Amino acid sequence: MFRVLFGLLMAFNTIRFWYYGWIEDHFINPTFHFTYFGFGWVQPLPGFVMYTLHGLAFLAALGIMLGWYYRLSAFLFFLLFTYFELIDLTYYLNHYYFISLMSALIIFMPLNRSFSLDVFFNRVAQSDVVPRWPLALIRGQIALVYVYAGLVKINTDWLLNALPLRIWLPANSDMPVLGPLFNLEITAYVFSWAGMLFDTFIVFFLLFSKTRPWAYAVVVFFHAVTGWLFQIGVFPLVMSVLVLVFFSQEFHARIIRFLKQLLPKVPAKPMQVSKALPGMLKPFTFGILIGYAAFQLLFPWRFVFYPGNLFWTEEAYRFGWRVMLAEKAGTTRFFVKDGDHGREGEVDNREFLNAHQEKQMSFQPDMILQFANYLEEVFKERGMKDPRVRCEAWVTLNGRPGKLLFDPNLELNGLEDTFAPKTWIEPLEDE
Amino acid sequence: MRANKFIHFYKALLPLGAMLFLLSCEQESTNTVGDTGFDRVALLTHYEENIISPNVESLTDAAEDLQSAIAQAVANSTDASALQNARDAWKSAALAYANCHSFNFGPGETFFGSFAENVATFPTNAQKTQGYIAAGDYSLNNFDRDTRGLYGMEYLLFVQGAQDSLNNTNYAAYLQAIAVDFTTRCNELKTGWNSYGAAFKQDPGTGSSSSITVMYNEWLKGYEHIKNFMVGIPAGTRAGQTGPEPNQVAGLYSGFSQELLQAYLNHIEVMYFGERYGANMQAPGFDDYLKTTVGGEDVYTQTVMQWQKVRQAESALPDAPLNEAVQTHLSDVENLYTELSRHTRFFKSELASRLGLTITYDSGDGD
Repeated sequence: MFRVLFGLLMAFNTIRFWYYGWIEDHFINPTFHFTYFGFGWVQPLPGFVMYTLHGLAFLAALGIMLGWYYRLSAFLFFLLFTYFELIDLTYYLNHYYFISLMSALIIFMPLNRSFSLDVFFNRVAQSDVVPRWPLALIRGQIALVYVYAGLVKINTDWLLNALPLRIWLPANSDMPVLGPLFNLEITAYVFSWAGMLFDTFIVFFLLFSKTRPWAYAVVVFFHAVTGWLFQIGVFPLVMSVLVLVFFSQEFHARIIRFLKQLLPKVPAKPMQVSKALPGMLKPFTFGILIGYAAFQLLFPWRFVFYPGNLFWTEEAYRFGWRVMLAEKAGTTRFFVKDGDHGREGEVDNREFLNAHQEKQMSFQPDMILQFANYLEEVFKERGMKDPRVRCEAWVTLNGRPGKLLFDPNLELNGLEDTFAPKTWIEPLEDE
Repeated sequence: MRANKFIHFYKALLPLGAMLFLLSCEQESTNTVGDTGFDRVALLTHYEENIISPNVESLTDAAEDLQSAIAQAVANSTDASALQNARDAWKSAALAYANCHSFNFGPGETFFGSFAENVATFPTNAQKTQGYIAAGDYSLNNFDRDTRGLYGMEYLLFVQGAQDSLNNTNYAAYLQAIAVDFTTRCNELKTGWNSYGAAFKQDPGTGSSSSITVMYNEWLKGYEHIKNFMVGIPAGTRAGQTGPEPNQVAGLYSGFSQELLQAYLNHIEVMYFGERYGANMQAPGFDDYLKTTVGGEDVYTQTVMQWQKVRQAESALPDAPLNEAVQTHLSDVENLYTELSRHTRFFKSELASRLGLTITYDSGDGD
């Protein structure tokens, strides 16, 4: 069931992406792309190739859904989806990272052993028993997303000031039934605490059969509300569906039996039914799994090595399941001058960036740095001998008055983006 | 046992169904407004009824007047007063347009570009325009928006030798063709608002396609357009420019560039405060909305202070067309640019972030 639903959702997501014109907007139109640290070599391909690749990703998602050349489909989908995500940092979303991880994990899992075309065409042996380790891994990954998303909510702004929900909820006061409540401050506090408690503890309620149906109802309600309130795409649907993996094998078998009744009857083929797949893993695979789990558990904690407020500096912010945690926006003015005494002019950011790129860059220091270095290149090409780039970045975090992110006289194109703490970022004074 | 499991099965699927239902209803809008929060519907109603519709109506009237004044000037091509009437009508239309320059959403946004792009692109490309005239091509079947619209008419009405040129059949026909095109587009905007207006003011949402967000986005673009193109480029403040380019101003041929700049800025002010900034300040606007948000009062005070600096810098310009001011009082124009640029954040991040507007359509991070 997990495989079918995951494939279906990914196929839907690919179509959605195409339908909204995002292939054009994200990959084809922009003249500049923000790259991921160490992945600067990932570049978009010509327009028609990008469309073809999305077509291929759609087919691969269908392949996953139908269990048709399952491993190849899963591998292809992982490769393509991750490639699309790596092209431009602007569009980083935790849930896209989650999809990349999930599609990588399922390559190694024998999820095509039941209710699949691979079984139907005798490409693999049928087994109605799912081995423990893939199940544990998928459940573990989902659990980690929830628990970490909950733990990062334990901070002053979220719990004691009900921010950013005190900003976001009144903006949704038009929602039926609950809407009028959103203008009350207390609602933001209730939602903040409920959100933290939900994320941190829901997995534990999903683990036990007695609490599971109720916990699932809460999961769906929670995601429905957030999906309604915020522009967060397919994520609520993805989580609501994938959480079904916490239900028993009997539950899934029941759904499959129900679905099979809906399918046209086909002449039964002799099927080779294997015994339950071995639960034990080879040491090598086991080692990789341990390594993966360790990375997932520890990587989000790297922020402890960086000084300052994580939400302000955004160092070690990504890949940590920090979702919907801060209302942050900025306005950046870039200035370029030729050498020490040259004439200084201001850049029109929109000449190089689309609205979303500009918006995301405006409060993220590493992206500001990338853009500054890009401007240096552009103005060199335009004939400047020694372009010096500086930037005045005013950032507002969770309703605080706007503040300069760093000294506007700092020459940015002399700086390099590394894993080292960015000491040039001004500290956020109140913490 | 079996029945029990079935119950569990349906218990689990019910909420999923409920969620799909909720998601499918997502596009529907309601006009519920909170008891204690800011009344967005009241703001939109005020904007639609008292700003947008009347301004678009006035613009359409002015466009029609301009079209007939041009027809008169062409019919009486040697009559200086007829040309003067057409020039006066142009000025009225240009000032009426300034009151609408940010209405590039809803009916103002078409597949073939925004209303502003189609009717008010500047600077005019004189060479291309003369090329179309020489070729007798007034079909306007091209994307050279800098050969028509308000500023195309300005060029043909005010350029040196315009009076004599009116005797040239091609010149006269081209001028009339672009006048008709301008009126048609203004009328389309008006008709569009007649049907769009009701939906516009009843949409209380803050999502990326909500009334308030699309209006905000275009208003902000309008502001940045003034800063970058009406002031910045003529003053030579853009990176890579080697000096001022006075001929890039809007209103070069008529000499009304400063009045136009003022009118464009007035419109930005009206769209922020819901009225001109002054003593009364009763009408709902983005300023009132801002004041109800977290940290909004402080930001409002800072915004007003910076906006006053902008208007002071504008009043400090010499009493002359902007292209002349750039040549004689460059530092004053540069100062206006600097104040406009400093002001950007108050209209951009400081405002949108507090109002909770989702300003782009891309998905955000999920929870």
